[in-house]
Amino acid sequence: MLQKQHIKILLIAALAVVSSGGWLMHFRTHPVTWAKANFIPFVAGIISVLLVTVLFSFKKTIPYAYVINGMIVMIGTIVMGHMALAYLPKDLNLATFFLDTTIPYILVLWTKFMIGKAIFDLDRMASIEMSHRGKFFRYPNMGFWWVHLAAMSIVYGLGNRLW
Amino acid sequence: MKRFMLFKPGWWILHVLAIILLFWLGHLVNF
Repeated sequence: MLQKQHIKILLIAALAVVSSGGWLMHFRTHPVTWAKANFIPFVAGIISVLLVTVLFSFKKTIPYAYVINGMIVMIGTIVMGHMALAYLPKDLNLATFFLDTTIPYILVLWTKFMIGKAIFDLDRMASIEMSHRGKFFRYPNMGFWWVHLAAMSIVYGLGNRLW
Repeated sequence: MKRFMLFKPGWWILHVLAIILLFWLGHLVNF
């Protein structure tokens, strides 16, 4: 087995493990019977654990897995960020901001993004330069994700405020 | 590398569906 294949398998396993952990954590604190919104992490978790890991396993479907994985991270960041703002600690200071909000969970979620990006970059790069070519704001570079995070936040926010 | 469906009909359909989904998610969450 090539070193690259071995790393890819480990990364896919890491993704499955971190996604399962997140899914179980949500299932414990936000049972689906409590609120309709609890279906969001429930469904996102199932997609992450089953679909994304399978799509990452085949060379042809890696780009799809990369996009789906990234979009799930964006949605998680937006909704948990919303939750952090909605339930800000009463005595807000640096410690309570980082410890008593959903910020730690958002940080954990971003490992999922980076593992996905690592698998994607590992697959397409013959050299490190190959993985960083193209325009910054275009797929598959990081600018693409920042634009999507911003745009998705706006659409989500409008849905939350207007509907 | 080939660009991912950019500005083809599929791109528009995907974005319209994604916007509807996200707008609905925003509505679903009531913190």
